[in-house]
Amino acid sequence: MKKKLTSIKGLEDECKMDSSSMIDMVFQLILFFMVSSRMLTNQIDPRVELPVATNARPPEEAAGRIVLHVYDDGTFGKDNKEPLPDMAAVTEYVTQRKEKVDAGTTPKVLLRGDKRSIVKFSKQAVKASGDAGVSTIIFSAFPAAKKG
Amino acid sequence: MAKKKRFESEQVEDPALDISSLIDVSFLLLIYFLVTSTLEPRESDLSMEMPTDSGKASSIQIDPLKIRLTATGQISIADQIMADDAQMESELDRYKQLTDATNKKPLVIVTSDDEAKQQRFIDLMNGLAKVGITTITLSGFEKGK
Repeated sequence: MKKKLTSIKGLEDECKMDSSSMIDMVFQLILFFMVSSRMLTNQIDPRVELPVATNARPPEEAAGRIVLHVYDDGTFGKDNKEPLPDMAAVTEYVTQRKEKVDAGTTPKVLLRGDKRSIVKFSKQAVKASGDAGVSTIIFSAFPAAKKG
Repeated sequence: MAKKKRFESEQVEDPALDISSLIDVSFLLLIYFLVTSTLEPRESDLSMEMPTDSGKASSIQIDPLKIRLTATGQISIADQIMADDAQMESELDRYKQLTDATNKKPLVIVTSDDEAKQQRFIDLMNGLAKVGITTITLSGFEKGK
């Protein structure tokens, strides 16, 4: 009897799962998520709900972009969400950013207009950009409707 | 002496790291990333060239295509009201083909009511981008039409 018990005890010692490979796999998955998640350097203001345009294309060139937010209440904001009080401030902001754009790069205004706003505000933004000497306007949109 | 031997054998067995809690933590991290990650649509571009008035008249004679967007969101091309976006796109495509055939650059003048919704304006830009028209002229400010 005593011998039998000893043999069972011996079996218990042997039945150990080597979980080191499982940790490797889990860490690999975590690394995958960490690496694949996009770092948004130029975040969209959460107050702006972008319109949907199925023919919008993924951005090709990030250089020379002057981000301008147009909110649904008709106010404007910089890329860092700082408000621009009037049209003169918008023109000044675009002019200042245009001067910082490298030579050889075409300055472009990236207009992030809220889909609930009216065209009047976008027109004002286009006019202010034109006054600042920027004629290329990129209308920001989502290629498909946002879920949820 | 015998006691010392038993002590030594116990020391050899001891250095085994219990990593089950590490797996728990790792799985918690993994679940956190899986739950918190959302599928956000990627921001895309509708690039348009909107030339400002340079004061110089163009040497090429071309017929401009006049597009009108009303406050209710109705789009009319050359005074013809478009029933839907498909008709609008086919009209724009016809104009683009015509300009391509005559080797001219398309000239589109968009007159939009100030009160029209931004989404509707983007729908129009979307149609223009689809047929490959990237240069438009936005006409002056209008109210209440």
